[in-house]
Formats: sequence, C-alpha cells, structure tokens
Amino acid sequence: MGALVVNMIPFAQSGETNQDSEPNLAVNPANPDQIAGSAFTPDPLGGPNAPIFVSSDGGNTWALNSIVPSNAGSATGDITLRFATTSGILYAGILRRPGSLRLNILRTTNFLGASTMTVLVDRTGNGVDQPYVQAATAGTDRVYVGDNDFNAASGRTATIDQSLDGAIAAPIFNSIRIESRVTSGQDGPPIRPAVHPDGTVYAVFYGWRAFTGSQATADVVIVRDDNWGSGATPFSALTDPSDGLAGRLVVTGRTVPWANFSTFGQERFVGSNITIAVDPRNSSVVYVAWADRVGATDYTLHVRRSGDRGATWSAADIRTITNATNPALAINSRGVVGFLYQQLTGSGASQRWQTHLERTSDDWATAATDLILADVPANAPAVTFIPYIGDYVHLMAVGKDFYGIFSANNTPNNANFPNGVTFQRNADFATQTLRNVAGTATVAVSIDPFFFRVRQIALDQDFYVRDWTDSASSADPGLEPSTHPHFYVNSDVWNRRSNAPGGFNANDQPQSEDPQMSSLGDNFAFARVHRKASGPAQTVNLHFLYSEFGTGSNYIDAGTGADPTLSFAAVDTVKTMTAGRAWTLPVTTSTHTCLAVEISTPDDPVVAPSLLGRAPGWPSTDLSVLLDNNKAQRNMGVYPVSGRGFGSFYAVLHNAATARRDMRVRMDIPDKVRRALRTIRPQVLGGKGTVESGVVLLPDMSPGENRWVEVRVGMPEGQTGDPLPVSFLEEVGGVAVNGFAIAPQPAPLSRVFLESLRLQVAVLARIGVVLGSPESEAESKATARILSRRLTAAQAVAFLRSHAGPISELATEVIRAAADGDILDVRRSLQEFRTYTSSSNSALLAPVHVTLMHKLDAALTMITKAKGDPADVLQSVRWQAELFQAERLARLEPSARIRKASEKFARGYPLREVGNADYPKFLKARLNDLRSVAGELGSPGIVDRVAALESSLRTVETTQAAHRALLLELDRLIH
Amino acid sequence: MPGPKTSGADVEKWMEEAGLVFRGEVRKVKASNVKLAQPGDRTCIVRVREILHGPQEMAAFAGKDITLEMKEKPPKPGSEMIFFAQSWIYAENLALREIGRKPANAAPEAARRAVAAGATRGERAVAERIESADVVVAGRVLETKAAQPPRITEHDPMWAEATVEVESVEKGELSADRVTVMYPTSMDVMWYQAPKLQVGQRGVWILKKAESIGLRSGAFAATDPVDFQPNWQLAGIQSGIRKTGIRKRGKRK
Repeated sequence: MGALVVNMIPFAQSGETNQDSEPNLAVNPANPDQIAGSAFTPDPLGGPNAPIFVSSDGGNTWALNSIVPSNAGSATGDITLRFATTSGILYAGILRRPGSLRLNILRTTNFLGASTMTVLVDRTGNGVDQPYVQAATAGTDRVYVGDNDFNAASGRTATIDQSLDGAIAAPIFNSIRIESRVTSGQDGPPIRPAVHPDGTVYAVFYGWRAFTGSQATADVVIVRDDNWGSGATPFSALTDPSDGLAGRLVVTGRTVPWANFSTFGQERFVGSNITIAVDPRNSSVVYVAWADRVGATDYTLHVRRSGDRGATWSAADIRTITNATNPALAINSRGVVGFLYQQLTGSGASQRWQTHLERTSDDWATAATDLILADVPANAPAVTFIPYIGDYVHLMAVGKDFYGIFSANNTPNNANFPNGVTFQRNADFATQTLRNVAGTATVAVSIDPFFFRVRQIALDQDFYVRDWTDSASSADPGLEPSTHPHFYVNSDVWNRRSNAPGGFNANDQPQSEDPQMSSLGDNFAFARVHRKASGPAQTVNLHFLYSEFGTGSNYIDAGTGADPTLSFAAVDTVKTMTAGRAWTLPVTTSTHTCLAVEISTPDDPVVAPSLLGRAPGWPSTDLSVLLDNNKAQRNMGVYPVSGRGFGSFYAVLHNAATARRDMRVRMDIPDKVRRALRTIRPQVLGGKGTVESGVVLLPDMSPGENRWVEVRVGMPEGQTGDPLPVSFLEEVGGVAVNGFAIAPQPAPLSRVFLESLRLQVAVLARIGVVLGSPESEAESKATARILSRRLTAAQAVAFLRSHAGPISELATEVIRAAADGDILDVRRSLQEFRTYTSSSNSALLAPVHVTLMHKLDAALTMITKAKGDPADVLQSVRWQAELFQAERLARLEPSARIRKASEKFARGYPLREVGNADYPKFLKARLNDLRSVAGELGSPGIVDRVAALESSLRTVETTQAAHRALLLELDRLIH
Repeated sequence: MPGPKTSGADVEKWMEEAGLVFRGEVRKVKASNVKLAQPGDRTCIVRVREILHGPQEMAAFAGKDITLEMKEKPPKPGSEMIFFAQSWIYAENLALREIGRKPANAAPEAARRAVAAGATRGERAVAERIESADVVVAGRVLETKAAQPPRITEHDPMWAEATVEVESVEKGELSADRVTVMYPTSMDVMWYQAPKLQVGQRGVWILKKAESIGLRSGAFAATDPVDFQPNWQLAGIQSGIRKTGIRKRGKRK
C-alpha cells in the first residue's frame, strides 16, 4: 500500500515562510476523519492564540484554527495533542507563552470550533519541560502528560501528570514522580507515556546519571502501572533486578550527546529522542526506541522489545539506525510495528533529511517495508531557530492504519517525496517554486509540517461485520477498536430458526431468534458483511461459533463441515447471507446462547487468536471483538413477555482468565427500559457475589468458574413493542471488555406461551438426557406436538393444566439433582406454576411458566457444567501451561515438558491441528509427568487428583472436570 | 449608511486587536467560501479591495474573496467598508472575524488612521515594556560572558551577562556607570527572538531586575524582542516617556 502525504499548510497561507517544526498529531479514534496537528506555527495575523492544524476529512485537507492560548504573535512553545478514545475531547500539553517553562494542560470538546482551549493546569515554579500527552477513555477520560518537572524533589524530575477523569469541569491532575534513582540533578527532557485500553500504562525516560555539559550518561528506564495509575504507588509495577527499585533499566550508561545549537543537518542534540508503543492486542508486548551515541560523532537509534510487560528486554537491538533522529513507534491492530524516523544522509552540502516509515510483522527478522516519505535537502532553508525540524515527530495507529506527521523542507519537487505528496499551498511543481496566494510572487522555501497516512489494508479489501447498528444512519463503520460499549446487542450476526435471513427493522437491525433444540429443527446462523469501499470481486469466508449465554463463556464451533462464503462482486460494499449456516445445539445445551462470527479473506484475515475456546476480553483483556472488525458477537437474549407479575431470567458469568480474579459487571439500563419494566432486580445466586449501585461484583473467581445472575423484571404494559434490553457490561479497569443483554419483549400472550413452550420442549428433553428420566422425552414430544399447530393462549393454558403433574415431577427431579441445592428457588416457582395452572388465569400463568422454564434451563446448565465443559478445554490447557511456569512448579524436572506440550496444544487448537477429541489423549500422555510432579511435591491432594484424572479420561467432559480439579489444587498449592 | 457608529477611539481600540485592516466590498451575505466556516446570519463573502494594515504576505489577498464573520448585522451586498479583522480559519480560502468597521466613504481618513494606528502599535509594545521596566538605559556593550545555567533543558535560555556602559538613564535609578545585563543567547524557539547583545553594540535597553525572573540579584535582564532598541529610536523613546508621564529618575554622565 502506498502512502498519502500532505503538506499541511493551507492554501490561504501560501505566503508563509515560518519554520513550522516539531510537529505532533492526534487522530480521533472514534472518528478518524477528525485529525489535529501542531507545530511551531504562530497566528498569521499576530493574534493572541496560536493555531493548530485541523482536518475533518481524514487528513486530505487542512486548515489553521487558532485556539491555543499563547502570546500575541507567537507560536506556542512545545505542544503535543491527543484525543481520548471515545469522548471526542482533544487534550494538549503545551509550554505556554509568555513564559519559558510554563506547563499548560488544555482541552477542547470541539477542536474545529472557535473557542480557545480550556486551561486545566497552569504550572511554572521551577519550570516544566516537554509535555507529551496521551489519553484514553475508560468510562472516564484518562489523561497522561509525561514531562520533565523541575519542581520535583532531589532532581528526580521525570514525571507523569495524570488525571483519571479529565472530562469533568475541574479535573484533578496529580504529579507522579517516576524516577526512583539518584540523578545527575535531573532526568532527560523526554518522558513518553503509552496507554493500553486494558489500563496498562507505560512510560519511558532517560534517567540521567551524569551530565558534562556536552553529554549525558543515561539509563533508558521503563515504568509501568497496571490500573491506569490509580493505586497508592502508581507506576511502580516494574522493578529492576539490579537494585529492586521501581523502573526497569532497559540499558544503562548510554552516552547521549548534548549540543543545544544547530549542528546535525542544522538540527541539535538535546536528548529528546525516545519513544514507546504498546501492542493494542496484548498489553504485555511493548517496544521502545531511543537515540544515543555509540561512536565518536554518530547519533544512533535503537529499537528493543519486551514480551513480558517490560520485565525483560531483547538483549540486542532488533533495529538500529545510524545518524537519525526523531524515532516514533506505533503498533496497529494487526500487530504490525511502525517505526518512523528522520535520517541524515550524505555529507557536506549534499546532506539530506530522509523521513522513513518502516513496518514489520516479525521484529525485522525479515526486511521491513520501508517507505521514504521525504528526501529533502538538509542545508536549506537556513535555520531560523532550533529545533530545525523538531525534537520529536509523531506516529500513531488507529485500527490497521498508521498516521503520522513530520516536518521537512517544502520545496515542491516530486523527487523529494518518493511516495507522492499533495500540497495545499500554492506550489508549482514544474518550476519547483512556491507561489503566494495570488500567484504573483515566489515564496521562499521553508520548513512545513507534513501529514501522512498509510493503510495496511486497502479500503476495498477491508471487510467487516458491524458490532452495532443504532439506526439506519448510525452504525459501526468498521472502526478498530469499535467505539460502542454495547457491541454485542445489535451486531450483524444473528440466528434464525428457518433458513432465511429475515428482514431488517426500521433501524436497519437484523431480527435474531433464540436457537431451538434439534428436535424442533436446525438453527441457521446469518451475517451481514460490509467492506469499506467497492473494489475487486472477493470471496469472504464466514465461521460461526456459539457459547453459553452470559459473559466470559468460551466459544465453540457452530456447525460442522465447510464454512459458508459470501461472494462480493466488484460493485458490492455490503452483502447479506441469503442462506444460513445450519447448526444444531447438543441436547444437553441450553438454547440460551451467544453467537459469533469470524470473517476472513486472504488479504484480511482474522486477528489471532480465534474466538475458538476463548471469550472476548481474555486473556489479558485482549478486546478481540472490539479490536478486530472481522469478528462480531451477539449476546442478547430476547424473551417475549406479557401478563401480570414478574419474570426471571438467567445468565452465566464465567471466568475465562487463567488466574483468579474479581469479575465486575455493570448494569446499563436505558430510561425507556427502566420505565417499561418498572422492576429490574438482579441478584447473584448462591450468595457468591453482590449487587450494589447497579454493579454486580463476583469476588475471587477461580479460572473456569461459573456463577449465575438472576434478573427479575416486572411485566411491561402492552402486547407489542421493541425488545427492552437490560445490558450488563463486563468491565476491566473501567473498560467494557464483554457483555450481554437480557431483553424482555412485550408480546401477545399467545406468543409468550409459544416461546415458553418451545423452551419447555428443550428443557424436558435435556432432563431426559442429563438426568436420565425416560418420562421427560415423552413430555417433550407432547409439548412439541402442540407447537406444530397454531396455538392460542387458552389452548396453552389447557395444555399446561393437563400436564402440570408430570412437569412438576420432572422439575422436582431437577431440584434433587442440583449439586448446590435449590439456589434458583425452583421450588417456589413450581408452587406458583401449580397454583396458576389450576386457576387458568393466563395473564398470571404466562410469566410464571416463563420463569419456571428459565429456572429449569439454568439448573440443568449448572448440573451439566459441573460435569465438565468442552468449551473450557483450551482454557484448561492454557492454564496448565501457565501454572507450570510458576516458580514452585517450574523447578521440577517434568514441568518443562508439561509446559511445552501444553503450549503446543494451545497453539494448535485455534488452527484446528488439535481439537477436543485429542484432549483426553493429550492428558493421558502427560500422566507420568503429572504423577512425578505429584510425587515431588509430596501433596496427597495432588496425588489424588492425578489419579482421578487418570480414571476420568472417558469423555471430553469428564476429562475436563477432573483436569480442572487438578489445576485448582495446583493453583492452591503454589499461591 | 448602515453599520455601527464609530469614533477615533474605536479605531484605536480595534487596531489593538486587529491583525488585518482592509477595504472590502460585501459580495454575498449568509455565505462562506471556507468549508469549515459554516455560513450563518453573520458570515459574508467580501472581496478585498485594498490591504491597509497587516503582514506583508497578506498583501496577496487584494482582489480575492474571503469569508468574514461580522461582529454585528452584515452590511448589504455591494457595501464597501473598512474592515478591522483578526484570524479565524486559514484553509482553502481565508476566513476572518470582524472586530469593527467603518464606511469606506470615510476611506481616506480611516485609512490614514489605520496606518497611523498600526505604526504606533509597535510603539505601544515598546511603551508597555518601558512602563513595566525597572530601568531604561542607553549605552554600549563592553563585554559579554556566559552565565551558569540553573537547569538543563533544550529551552535553556543559555544566559549570558553583558557589561553595558551606561550613557544615559531614561527611566529608573542607577548609581553606577556600568550595568550588568543578562540576556538569552539560545536560538531555541522560546528565545531566538530575544535580544542578543554583542560587544560594541550601541542602543537602548529596556531592563527588568534579573531577580524578578529568578536570576541573580544585582543584574538586569533583557528578554523580550523589543527590549533592545537601536540608538536612533532614543529620541522617540524619550518623547514617549515624557508623554506617558513616567518619571525619569537620576542619571549620571
């Protein structure tokens, strides 16, 4: 893919000759058409505000908007800009004028508007240098400004000024001192933060240990916080093994030249060239680059990588560039690393500044894709001030695309821009001259800011499934990450009970039906696929998966055989499947499920890992559905309701992580839903959690553990209406990583009975299989028979009255079989069912029957899952791999073999090289090693668990149950 | 003629804020030729007839249509006015905000006032610095030397000290015939426009006590671009000081 390179000076400024150096860039992740840029650019008419560059068309055109408070006629001092993820608020860190080292932190809710940015922080004291801002939205706007604050005590000047709620009227900013070691009197100027959506925040800086006036001796230091910097001792998660102090030393004792005058292609050396980027797919993966001097006169860039959250680093450079400055790193949603830098080439009068963007998918193991964005003379124009081109540039990724900015000589010469360039200012490429607005005079060459965008995938090859559709005019445009917190409610993947996609409602939303059990017929999975622009004909592969209804349950394949495909003709930008993917639910499985789809083409594959065996949000809150527009899921149960009284519905909350954790699920109920349902009462069953202020908290959940939430709602008025979704957002660090919605839908009584009797068919059949009750099959079939004809509410009531006896007996069997006792209180619902069937009051009976069936369905799921869960096979194996890395187990002789074999299985699972059928064999092959481990540990409990595992290798379910029991025991032992 | 009533005082006030003064003809109301400047009741397209005051590079807008957001109700199309304006949006075209306007039939006077006020705008900046200065001296630089930086930043002013032989004191009190002037030698973006004193240089220095900006006591500092004025400005400065009533204190020599 080529690059879009745009000279940002607007046409109306064609006459300008400023040195617009040291640029910075902010792309609004929620709307990448909105971009802001900055440079040392004064207001053209000498006004009191300095301008920023603004674009509302993705960087194709630019305007100047003077909204930064400054000094009349002056550019602002250092300036960096960043949009928060979804709020649309633009934050800035500047050195304000008048003044020299006067920190201002600013914001605007409308960067295209005329209002001067709001000052949030105004600090001078001993001075603050080089503010570099990053921002994210996680419920609130989190703002991090790395700066060198001379107000810090003991010369430990590296600082993060952070606000955990930057959007409120008067946000609080705290200065976090991140240098823990003795300095030469201060740290180096640049402190660069990097924020991951899971709440991991890194920062890198030069820890100055000595300074001679012409060079600093510096360590490159990385600090990390795992929860937005919100704890009592923020940014202390990483310590160095050499001294135990906070801040991992990537390298030490580096020589960083200091020459604060024009010298290096007219640029200076002020040790300001350091950068950091974290992989949006995995916050454990982080890259840094810095500049130092390795010889006598060079200025050398180094890139290193950590895959373990900064604990250890590549021992050698994975990329080294000599005689270059302004490194900037970014990682896109596909894990491609972008590396922007400006290299001084040639010698004497032939010296040139080359601006490179390298992209690599393998840490430069093979040659990176290198785009030379500019190759311009370094000796012209003459320097007006320093920095000549800037002490920094900026590179960022939004989804798959890279966006960046650099400053360079603006001669309109195509040879200077090997990947093309667009000038807005009046430029004559034929004569290589700049002209004024009127075209009447030549304008001298100067330094201008250049915007660029590089797409990793062409728009016509970027296929996506909408995560959300609010209306015909408001829907997911395929952004990565997706910006809607309810990315599982109205997505473009849905189920039907017949092989036709059904229609789309007035809001352009597909109409999903809950799956049915196989005795009533197949289910059919559908998807609608978009692409961002029309292009060549292409075939899109669609793979469907399903999981237990709720949040965190791992997905398994829906259907067998070859995946369906969708053929896009050249003109097509959207296609809907006309025939669905047939799939059936195992008879032991609830008909309450989540459905997901993964689409792929050769040029636009699914971001690994697949959802197979996993749940969105985990491991390490990878936000896989949000970050990959090739994936979508629907976790909304729509339940027809009517009548008087209350109905209860259930969802499973599963810990899909490989470590114990507290799960936090926040309710989100639109006012309209609250008014319609009147009563919405959630509770965690079995006392295994709390609900306070709309937040469901499940403490200390072990890996693979399930807990159930009941939602009791009032019956809405009326007999028709849209679904009334009560949403539950699983949050980690304030970020919604997964979720589900329970959506009662007002419906006529006849339809309510129809759906609850459908559920009864499934529930009774499951009782037969799960509990081995022969009578239940007959009852299930009897129920299925009455569904084959048009059913009135009165007929349904009559049927239930005549079958109340057998239904009650079967329900009682379920109560008896429940391992944890009757935590669902089926007994009470059964009593109500008996009461209202005898009264023949259909309005009272309907919600009671709905509730009874949902309770029985949930109870059967509990019983089934207690016997082992095939969906958790991969999670168990991954958990095993991690446990055997823990120090207490890792030192045992068989552990390495167990770990390696487990990792191999886990790698092969999403590739379908191994599957659930191989799982018992896989564990059988590990038994000797597991016995050895048990013996070496001397733990009778583990010996017993290994023996139990050995005797359980009959089915996937029994194996998984025994395996999990063993892993729990090991987990207890080592923690 | 519709439009706000104006006075000479208005013009002077507008000139304090205006970056551009021009004579222009209103071509179209409720219109804009800049995409980001949404047309509204007060936006007009105005053809620039003549630039009366503003940066040199703006001269090329003569004859061009620009967008002007009026401060009040716009004049009718065809009206020709003197507009006082400041920045709004620079894009595919120019969009400005009106600060004030005068009918163009008063053009000769308005133009003269505009240019005159523009000329005194620079003087006003000098006057403001003089007003806030501790001393204003005329003299000659005898020697310069580097001063110790208080901290290391790329924005370090790189202070130097110059010894200035004082020839006259135009404001403030000085008993010595030499004064130490601290000034930034840095070419950093924050300081490159500050006066750079050179041995043998003669002129007028507008100085603050160095300790008032965190530097050593006993010295003075020159940091603003207007803090040095060439010697030929001395008479004007003396006149300005007299007019503003700033008391000239004692001086020797």
